[in-house]
Amino acid sequence: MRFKIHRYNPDVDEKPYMQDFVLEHVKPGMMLREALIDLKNQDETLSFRHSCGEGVCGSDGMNINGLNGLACITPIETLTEPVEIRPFPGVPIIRDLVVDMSGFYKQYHSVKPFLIRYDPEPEVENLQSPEERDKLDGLYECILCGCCSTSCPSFWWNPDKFPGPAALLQSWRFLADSRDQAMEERLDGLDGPYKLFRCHTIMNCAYVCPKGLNPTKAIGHIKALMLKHSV
Amino acid sequence: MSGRRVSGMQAWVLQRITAVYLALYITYMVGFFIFTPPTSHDDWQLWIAQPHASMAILLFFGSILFHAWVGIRNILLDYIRPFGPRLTLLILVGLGLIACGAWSLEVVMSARIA
Repeated sequence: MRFKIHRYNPDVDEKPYMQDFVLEHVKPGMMLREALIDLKNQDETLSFRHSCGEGVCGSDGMNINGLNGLACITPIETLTEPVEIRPFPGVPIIRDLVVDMSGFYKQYHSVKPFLIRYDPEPEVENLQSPEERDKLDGLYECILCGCCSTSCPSFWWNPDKFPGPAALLQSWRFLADSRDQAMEERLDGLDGPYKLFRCHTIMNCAYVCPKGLNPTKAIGHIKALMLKHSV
Repeated sequence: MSGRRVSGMQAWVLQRITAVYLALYITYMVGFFIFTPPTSHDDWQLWIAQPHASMAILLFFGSILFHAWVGIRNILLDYIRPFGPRLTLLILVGLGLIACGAWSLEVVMSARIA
């Protein structure tokens, strides 16, 4: 199986280039992550992040034949040859397929992804009804792999100002939480042309999410909530 | 906070409201041209002299200008980063749209008077 993999070592290379690889032994049901590990045995200088190998940690996000995804849950038999592997678009490249995600994390922090409560701490847990808990389904499962935000043109053009789909999904996760008491502050923080409303409903985020989540839908919910609290 | 910034939600709401009016008005006008199209200059004059027709078309021009303003502003905010060129282009687009609005107002009003 033929691969073309993005290579760039800033200490040595003047500019990035694509290197050809051939994988001789394709095992049945093989995932791209295993293929990359085998290719790394051919050329040990090939660098990429990976960890859990089952789509839970979100480490091995990359651009696979033009589409962002997790290598560990992408079966290679679904890919057309030569398989072109590139780093996430729109973020600084550290080396080969390894990118600098600090801007992405900074945006995640900016939406305060934690419960904020002003009432005194309860004696026991903060209880929720099953219906209230159901509202968090499709939101809490995000593993912060970055596939969505790095496929979003609005995030490409304004990574320093636009929170991006992953952060906005988490913003809605806490806005929708019956235990959270900071709705007004959260909404205030998202107004203006560069925050919530830089999303133009392109929907690349929902298309690529390896966990099947829908940030565009969450963003729509935030817009509706903001409208409700403004008129 | 929002006073210091270019508007976010207001622009978004404005774009949606104008979109609804544009969709309704364009649908109506397509029907108008299919079923009862004006055939002569006098027909046009009679049609535009009706208050509801001239109001509706002026509202249409207003809607399309606001809609275009929000849309073009969004594109400029995405693609034109340096402050100078961005401000220049925003001013040019704004003035151009105001000129279009003034011109359409003049056309409709003069047609009503004549």
